Amino acid sequence: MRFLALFTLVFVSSACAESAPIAPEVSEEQILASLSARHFDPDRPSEALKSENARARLEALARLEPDAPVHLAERAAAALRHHGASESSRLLLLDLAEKDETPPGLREAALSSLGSAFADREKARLLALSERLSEHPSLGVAREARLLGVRVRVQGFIAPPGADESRERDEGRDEPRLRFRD
Amino acid sequence: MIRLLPPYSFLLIALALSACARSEEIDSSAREVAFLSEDENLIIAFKRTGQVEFLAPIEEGTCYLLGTGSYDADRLIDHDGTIYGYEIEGAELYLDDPTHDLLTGVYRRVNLRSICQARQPDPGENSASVQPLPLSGIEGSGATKKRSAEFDVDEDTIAISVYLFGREVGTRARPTAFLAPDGGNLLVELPDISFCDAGYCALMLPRNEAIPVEPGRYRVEISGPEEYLEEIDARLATRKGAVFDRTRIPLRTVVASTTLTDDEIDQTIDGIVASFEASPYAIELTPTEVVRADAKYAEIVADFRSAAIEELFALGDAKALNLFLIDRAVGIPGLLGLAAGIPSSQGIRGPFNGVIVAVQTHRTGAGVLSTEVLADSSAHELGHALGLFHTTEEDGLLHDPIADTPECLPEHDINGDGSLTAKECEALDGFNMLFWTPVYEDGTFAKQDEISIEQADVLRHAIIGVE
Ligand SMILES: [Zn+2]
Repeated sequence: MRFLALFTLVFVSSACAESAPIAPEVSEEQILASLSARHFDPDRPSEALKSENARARLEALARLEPDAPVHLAERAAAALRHHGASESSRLLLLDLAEKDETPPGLREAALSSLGSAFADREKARLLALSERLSEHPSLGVAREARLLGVRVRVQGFIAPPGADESRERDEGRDEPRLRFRD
Repeated sequence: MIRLLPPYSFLLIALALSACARSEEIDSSAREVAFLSEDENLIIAFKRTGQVEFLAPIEEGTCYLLGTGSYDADRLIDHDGTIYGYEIEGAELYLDDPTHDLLTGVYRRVNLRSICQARQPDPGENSASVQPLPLSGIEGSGATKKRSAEFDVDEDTIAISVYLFGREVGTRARPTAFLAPDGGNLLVELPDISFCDAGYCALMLPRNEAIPVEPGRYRVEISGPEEYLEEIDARLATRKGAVFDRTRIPLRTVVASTTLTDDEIDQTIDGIVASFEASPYAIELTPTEVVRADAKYAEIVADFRSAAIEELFALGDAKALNLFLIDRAVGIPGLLGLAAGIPSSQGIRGPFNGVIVAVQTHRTGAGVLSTEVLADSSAHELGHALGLFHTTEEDGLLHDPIADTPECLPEHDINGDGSLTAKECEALDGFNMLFWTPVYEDGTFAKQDEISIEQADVLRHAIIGVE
């Protein structure tokens, strides 16, 4: 068999769940293909995911409908860091990061995007959220919550979007890795 | 707000000029001076260049660079031009953030390297197929130095891998030459013979049919700064004897996931075995007993140098492919699976020999799990662990070093969106186990179990392959 039936069904139905229009230059297929890479790096997404035309679709995917794949929702929430729209930050903060019923992986992704791109907004609220979640039983949520708090504190020193300063650093590690798994 | 202490300003001028000026307190070899916040979540590092860095020490040995600014004698300046007054008194930094009051506080002097320098786990226990590979002393002059090793390969040897472990292996210390018995540098001929990631490099032969193992003396050269070369642990893995008509590769499954049922584990393993069964030449993954790991490893940071991975991977088997099924990988949103290396350190029971596959990202929002997709993701990662690269990457510009895997090219991007789907490459490698994405079109998952003859030839040369 060439296709995996279960995910076919849920994936297509999730793709139909959102009616937000997508501008023709970024297709639904392109967004899904880029988000579905075997190995996805939210800090180095394809141009398609950074396009303003992709935002509404990413927001819809990040809401994680019951029949939609979790990995897509997490990646969509993570990719929203490349979109500065207030709708995106509201979704990430109000609908995902602040809600205790959000699955831990999705919550971690939302916190990560908030810290990466929206640390200059609603600082008091983000700091309160950071404090509330910093001892969360999920390692990923607690870790991103602590990181969010630090990002808010140093927000003035975070380079403007596009400067790509938010990267891992192991004592001066500033050279690219030789070859990634992806 | 803190009280500023003008008399100490001279210290800061000195600091700006040279990090070595305060000789009693500052290590003369230090490249920078750093201070840690009281809550230990933030490091402020003063660089000799006049730049100040803000880092978050998130895990042991890992710091994230969050932002930068500039500094002078008594001020830090951010991107908006906002001024933050600071002073250093003894081993403490007093920082004043009058605008936001978010950074105000006392920070204590720390050794940046001791906090941020990568953790290097014990590479692990060798099986009989792996031996220590003694390295020469440090050679050369200048900032970049060299270490080397030579080893003899006999007529019986059909596969070799050189594994290098060390904190800066893969970053600052890298293999720069791999000389074959005829003197040719294989890394020039085929750069993909080498794979590196943080803390680990592997040189592997054969990577394809064009460059087999030849009898004679091989030489490996590793270059980098002296301090990073000193600590390298090098090992040589070899496989001798025949290439079999039917190659069996033991598969050890360690389950740290707390959500997988026994039936789901069985279905997943069956799916993985079936994927490899489709291979030309017979490649048979032979599952051994399934091991349940402590639930504390169900959620784990996706860093093979971490203490948690080191502990979990100790449950692996040196002589098997090791599959670790966890619930969630921390730090990489939506991670499906990740191999510790291409190849992993086959023949060693340790933190670079295995793949992690996350279960929760293979569920729907309602919690429904597709064990078919979980098996496909696992098979793909195990393919990496056995030394296979992606056949085609997203843009069609990068391909594996194997001659008979069709190359899907930018010209096959029918809709011109810059992203090759399995459908666009279906007549080529769209259904190959190592294609870059599992998506066929419109979100449909393809069953990717094709393995080319030459890929299968690499698989049957696995260090851990048995008859
Ligand atoms: Zn891959």
